[in-house]
Amino acid sequence: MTNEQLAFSDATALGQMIAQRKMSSVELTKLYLARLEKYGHVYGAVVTIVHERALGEARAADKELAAGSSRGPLHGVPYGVKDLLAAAGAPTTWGAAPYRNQVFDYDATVVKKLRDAGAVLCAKLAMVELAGGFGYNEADASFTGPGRTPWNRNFWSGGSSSGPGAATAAGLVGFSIGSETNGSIMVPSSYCGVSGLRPTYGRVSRHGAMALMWSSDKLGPMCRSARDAETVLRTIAGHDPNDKTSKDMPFPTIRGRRPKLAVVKGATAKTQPAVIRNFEASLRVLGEFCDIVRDVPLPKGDYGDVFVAVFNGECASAFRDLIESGRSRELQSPSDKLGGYAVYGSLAVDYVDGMRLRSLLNEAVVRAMEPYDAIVHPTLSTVALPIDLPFDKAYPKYPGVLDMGSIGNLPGLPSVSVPNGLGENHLPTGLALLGKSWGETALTQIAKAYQARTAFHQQHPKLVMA
Amino acid sequence: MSTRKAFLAATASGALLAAAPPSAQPSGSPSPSPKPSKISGAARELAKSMRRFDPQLTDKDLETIAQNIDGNLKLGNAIDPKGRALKNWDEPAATFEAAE
Repeated sequence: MTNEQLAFSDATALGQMIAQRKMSSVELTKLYLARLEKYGHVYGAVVTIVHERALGEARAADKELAAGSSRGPLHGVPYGVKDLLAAAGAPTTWGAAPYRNQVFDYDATVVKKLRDAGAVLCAKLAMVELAGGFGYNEADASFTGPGRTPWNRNFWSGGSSSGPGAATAAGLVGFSIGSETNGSIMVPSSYCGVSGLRPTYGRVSRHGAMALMWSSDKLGPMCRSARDAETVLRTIAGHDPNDKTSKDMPFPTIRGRRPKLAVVKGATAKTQPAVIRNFEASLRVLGEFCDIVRDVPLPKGDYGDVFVAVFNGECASAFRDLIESGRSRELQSPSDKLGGYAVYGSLAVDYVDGMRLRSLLNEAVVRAMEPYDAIVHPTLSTVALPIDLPFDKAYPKYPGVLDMGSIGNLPGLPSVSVPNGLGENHLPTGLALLGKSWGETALTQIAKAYQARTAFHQQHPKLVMA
Repeated sequence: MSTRKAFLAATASGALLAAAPPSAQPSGSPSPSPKPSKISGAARELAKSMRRFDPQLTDKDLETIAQNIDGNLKLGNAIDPKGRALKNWDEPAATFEAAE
């Protein structure tokens, strides 16, 4: 196997090779550190490479294996985290200039859990500043510059987990951890052609992570296969006394019957033709082992507006100190420099009304989903946005119609995005499955069966130098 | 329209109608054109008050902030037109529990 093939292997395969002593964790870690150095900045994917920590953890992993002890499937596997997660002693910048020198003296719970599982932290990965909290409208919205999809660096890698998306797709890490408040795992997973999993709200502790919207922030894996996403999720899940919203919950699967999927009305309206074509092809594959019901109506509701009403209140509170300090002007995106003042000027009564309407919408969505294991839809209505255009000018003909981001994130439901082909400009398209609370493994079960029948997750971009 | 809403329209949701509140049951009819909006006095005053945090904000900056604040102030009416969507007893998604 060449180094290139090794770099693009999924974490499950890498863990098996290390366990079988076909290579050492140190060898693999050195390979990824070299790739991070070579390509990390080409794709705007990296903030900090933690060489010493990585090699230390890799040596420890090898030593334990030599002594006949393994911590599990991720033992010795190198990974990266979005730079909103604390890692002791390394800068944790939140992608934003005002925080570029911020250092914590502890590991986020997710990082600690991965360390306990024997995984090797190699890099803090790039992200959109403040995870997009102040309303950016362009790809260049981070003090490290725009994230670029490895499929074509003239296009955005998505946000706000831009680095995890790009680094995973480019084979710079074995897997990565991203975060999502509304779209930040799903968007870069689709734009970069990786398998991303947004967990149920409360499945994974956020202790040590930047807060943007407490009632919607989630941390989840971004990987090169659905089987990896499941393995990583199982590793980082569980109750943490430092995050009161986190819970120990089972991982139910679908047994003894065919999964039942819904395609909601309008799922492909105002969507790029190639995205529709790939989605229809995906439905044919899913139809081999799932029952699919089309034109399922979802309850009417202003999901996006309700999301914004809640978001404004929580975001303004989370970043009150930054806004009041006047240091927003140090942010990169012109919209972000002023956007904090707009959320700061929102009304408390709108926040509370948003939370009241959220309760009604959540009940309606859960009721509508009851007969199905998942809603299947194109992750996004287009391929990646070009770097050099404001978002709202990129694909005005294809805005889509359904707001699956807000529909899924308001109730805290899990979702998976897997690559399902290439579209315009040879850029990846995504297939998403929105599931029920705590139903992540039902989603990965379906996604794994889909990937067993297709090879899109094994296609990789040809990397270039800047 | 708030910048946050514009952002959702373009990216995160990838599917939000930019010019109209999203509906989960699309009618198939074209989105209405955005009407030229007049910025309210309240939004302008609130925007002006942000100079206490950053005295270097220009008049153009304040105009942008006022426009976005105005969008947010209109949000309440958008999500609950004339207070018809919510009844007095509808509780928020997060409810208070007595401390133990």
